[in-house]
Amino acid sequence: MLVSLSWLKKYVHIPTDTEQLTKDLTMLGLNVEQCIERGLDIDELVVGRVLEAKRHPNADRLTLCRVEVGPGDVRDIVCGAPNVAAGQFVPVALPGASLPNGMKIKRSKIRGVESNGMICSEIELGVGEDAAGIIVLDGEHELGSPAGKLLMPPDTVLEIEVTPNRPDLLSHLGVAREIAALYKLDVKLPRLGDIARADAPDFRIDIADATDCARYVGKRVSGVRVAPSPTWLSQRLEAVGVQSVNNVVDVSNYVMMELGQPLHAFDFVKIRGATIQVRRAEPGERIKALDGKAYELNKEVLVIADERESVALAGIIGGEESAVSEETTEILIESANFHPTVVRKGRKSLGVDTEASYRFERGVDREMCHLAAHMAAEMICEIAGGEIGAVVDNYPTPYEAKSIAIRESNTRRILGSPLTTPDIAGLLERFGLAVVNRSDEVVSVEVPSYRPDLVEEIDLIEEVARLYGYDRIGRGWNFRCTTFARAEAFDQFVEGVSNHLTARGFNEVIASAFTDGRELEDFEWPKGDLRRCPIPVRNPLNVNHKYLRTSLVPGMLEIIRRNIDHGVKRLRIYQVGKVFLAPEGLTQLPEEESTLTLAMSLPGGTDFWYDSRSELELFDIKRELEMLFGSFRVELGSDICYDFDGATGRFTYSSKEGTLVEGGIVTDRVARRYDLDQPVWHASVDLAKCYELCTRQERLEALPDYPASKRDLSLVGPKGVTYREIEKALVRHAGRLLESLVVFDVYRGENIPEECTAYGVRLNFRSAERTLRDEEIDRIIDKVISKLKNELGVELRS
Amino acid sequence: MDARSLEESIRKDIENAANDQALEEARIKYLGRRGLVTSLLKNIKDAPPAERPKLGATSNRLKKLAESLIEEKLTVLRAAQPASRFYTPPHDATLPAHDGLTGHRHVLSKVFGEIKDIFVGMGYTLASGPQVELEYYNFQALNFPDEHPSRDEQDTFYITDDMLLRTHTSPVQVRYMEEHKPPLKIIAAGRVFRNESIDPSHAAEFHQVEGLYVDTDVALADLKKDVEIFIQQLFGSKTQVRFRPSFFPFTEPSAEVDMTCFVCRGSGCSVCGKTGWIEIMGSGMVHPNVFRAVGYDPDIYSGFAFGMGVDRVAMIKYGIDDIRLFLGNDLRFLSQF
Repeated sequence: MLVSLSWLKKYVHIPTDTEQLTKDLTMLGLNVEQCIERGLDIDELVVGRVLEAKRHPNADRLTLCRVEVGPGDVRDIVCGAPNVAAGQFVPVALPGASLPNGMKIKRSKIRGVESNGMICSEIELGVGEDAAGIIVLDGEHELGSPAGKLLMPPDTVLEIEVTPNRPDLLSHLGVAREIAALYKLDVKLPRLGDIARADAPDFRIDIADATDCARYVGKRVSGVRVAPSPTWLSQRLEAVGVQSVNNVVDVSNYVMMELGQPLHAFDFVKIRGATIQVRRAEPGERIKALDGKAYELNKEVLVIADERESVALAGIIGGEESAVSEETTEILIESANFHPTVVRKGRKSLGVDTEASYRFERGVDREMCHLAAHMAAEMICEIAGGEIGAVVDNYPTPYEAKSIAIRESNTRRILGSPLTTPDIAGLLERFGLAVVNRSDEVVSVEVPSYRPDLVEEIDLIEEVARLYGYDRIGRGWNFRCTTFARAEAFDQFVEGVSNHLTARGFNEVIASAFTDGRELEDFEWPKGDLRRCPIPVRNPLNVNHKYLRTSLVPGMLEIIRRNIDHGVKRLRIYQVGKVFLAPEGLTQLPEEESTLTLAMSLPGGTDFWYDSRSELELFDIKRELEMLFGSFRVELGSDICYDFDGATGRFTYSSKEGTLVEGGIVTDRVARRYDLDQPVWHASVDLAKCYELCTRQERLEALPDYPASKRDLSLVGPKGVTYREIEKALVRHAGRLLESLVVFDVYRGENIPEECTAYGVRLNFRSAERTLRDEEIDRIIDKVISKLKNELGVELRS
Repeated sequence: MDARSLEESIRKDIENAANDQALEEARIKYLGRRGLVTSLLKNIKDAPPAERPKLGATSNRLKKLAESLIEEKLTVLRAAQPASRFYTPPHDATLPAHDGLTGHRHVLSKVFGEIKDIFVGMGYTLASGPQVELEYYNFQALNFPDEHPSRDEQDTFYITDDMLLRTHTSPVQVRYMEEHKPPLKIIAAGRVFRNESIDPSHAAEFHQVEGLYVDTDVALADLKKDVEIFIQQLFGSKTQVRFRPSFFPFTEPSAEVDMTCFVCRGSGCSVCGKTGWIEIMGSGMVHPNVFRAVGYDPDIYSGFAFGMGVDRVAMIKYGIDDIRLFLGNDLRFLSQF
């Protein structure tokens, strides 16, 4: 909301400078976003008087003037305007002046005659739209005095951020009331002439629904002459961001900016049957509005109609046909109160937003209707001529004043400030809230019609607080805490995982939760997998926001591709984020699974001297996952097992709870889609399931008292037997004395039968009770070897 | 042996010592209990009194010479020896060992971690809620009436008629209060969504931290204290904090929280728009309607809530001028934190 200080001064005295006012308003809750200084401050623009005006000797359309631009300082000036005449007081730009349109005035010769300045028009000075002639100043003025001030008085305009709960502040009067409260002053209300003149009305107003329209004041003005507005009016409107249209429309906007009541002026002759109906639109009804657009209406839209059809969209915008035009002489001013929700739904369904609808949907003071109509009528008569006619005030739903009680104890409790009942009453009265009842503990005040935001006690407590001053509350207050806290366990787990991964050289990324869905074609998720049917967004911003992601992988691939484009090709990244899974036809909130995805990518070829390998392989990502599990003491084999599909490069780790990790290499098909020219390995971890495994209660296992015995075996596995099968059999047959085992060598090639693999396995045996004897272990080894041979065809390497 | 030949012999023996052992032998030869220099010193008392000063000076000089030569030689020998039997000097030890690929937390995680640590230290517990949220929790329960203009400030992505992507983390307040009894002091953090066109200062997805404290007799003064402590912990103890009245449907009285500009320290600059203040969070006392929605009696309980954008805090803290960088995940950006 733009408010002009000179306009505000009509209603309230401003006892401070702009800087202080800005601070005070901001701390009262009227955040001043900027101050705009206005005015026409041009050096060498002075008041002059045309002493003589005669035709230019060499040009029919030019006039040669003698202009007195200071006592005794008479200059020859050539003027092209048709309206220049001797005796006029005019603004003269002298040589050296720079005009707002960029023009610099110099002494010059025009058609052979010297000209020592320029007599200015509105458009040249940027004070109006009139380009046809020079500005003629009303009255007499001191010659040579600055003309800028006369043409555009200096003013300061404040841009105030108005929150949606305070429709009253969308007017100068409303802001003036706050200033009055701030500085303990009174608001000066406008003096109007006889408001209740009782001509017999020549029209009627029918309101179909008293909820839709609480009040409708129609006021007639006859015999007006529609013309451009006087400069002061168009300048005032312009200062607060409203474009001047004509004197009648400008007056209605002026009253809206002043009192907050949106008005509309109809060309009364165009209202067929002299009947105003306020009703909902018929489905399919159409209207061409003032913005030049045709609207097809629906029953959400409240309209003003004459006896045949709609002539305006109530509270939103007028119709083109019934609008005031240059030929209009008979006017009907509408000053009404429409229901906020009705206006909002209507204007949303039509996709329009106007100054009027903005105010109505926030709530307009219905007690203001009559006054606003009258003020507009008086102004129109004054500016556009004419005579005030009849008024009809149809007021089916009058404002019912209510009172609200505020307790001293509750005020103190909520604010933590030792305010007393008299303090509270005093502060509220400054806002114009009349105290209707008062005891030691309770103050009751009556809520004025312009404050729809004041509904219950807490609203009054806020009023007390902001006028008392937020900065005065809680000075010297101590920190108070009635709870104890520590970081939440799951959160700490995730934090631990993150720290582990960053220490391993992974960069954390955070990607969008949306997806365009292109991954659906290329990621071969199995039938029935919920990732295949992402949740669609109803009103996406663009194609990238079509769905919610069901996997973090596509987003990570996108990140990898973008970074490769930037020349960053060695990538180790991870992300912790939510994926959204739900069966089609969402009936309840979707599962939001906390997922961790790792991705590693390296370009082909060695690009760092210390790395011996250049290609990423399965074991690179497997190592990362197994280190991660290891750091949480999750044991592979006993706690989780993994499956690796050699053909596709996919793998999973699962526990009793189901799949914990799923990963693999990006297929060529996907790589093409993401334009990736280097291998990417990725793995996605279900964090909630891992958390269960990783945070089991742990108790100390006593350190061993007896020594371990090591045995190395060299085993040859036949084709088709995997290490994991051998290991399982080893563990099973070696029994509980086997403490641990490790593969120290894997060999294929010479001296080994073709397609067989030799494994060097070191077994560690230990007993908690005694030192093991060699014979004992020999027996175990013999048994293991024979079992391996029988079950898997594994031989001892000779 | 005269002094000169003794000196020569000292120099030669020490110079020629090839290892620690040979050097030790040389030391014993000259400086040992029966060493040549030692004997020379011992014999001074037997010399004629007139020769004693000269002899004394010579002997002492030789002793010092031998000591310093041994010291020097020792250093030379040590340097020539491998420090460990497990070590072979490389051809060039100046080569880099690491390819520069280091891991970094995302700047948003980093900032959120700091924020969280401060609040946990002040007794706040971490709470969370869904990102796909019911309209009820996102709006109605938070005192946003249907068709109220206050909803315009939060352009919403809808999933179904009553499901949406949460526009703020405040629904967590309602969910938490439904399941817990006061006193409670929580922070909730996470992704929020606004259906807004994207530019350097607006993102459709960003992150918030939300705080809530409810107990009997929690006052606006408590809110001011907690927020002030938090901001001074995060931005430094000299930071000043200002509360100015504002409006949020779910709090009343409501306050916008400003802090003194970290660039100009309050004197006014281009970062703070010449005001000296930077808007950092919204806050206020929990509105009685929110308490009613969760079944708390507003005459018994009171509380405060506040919320801030993690992205915004990160932008202020690190001078980041484009919010889109956060989800852009350019490693040249990420690896700066």
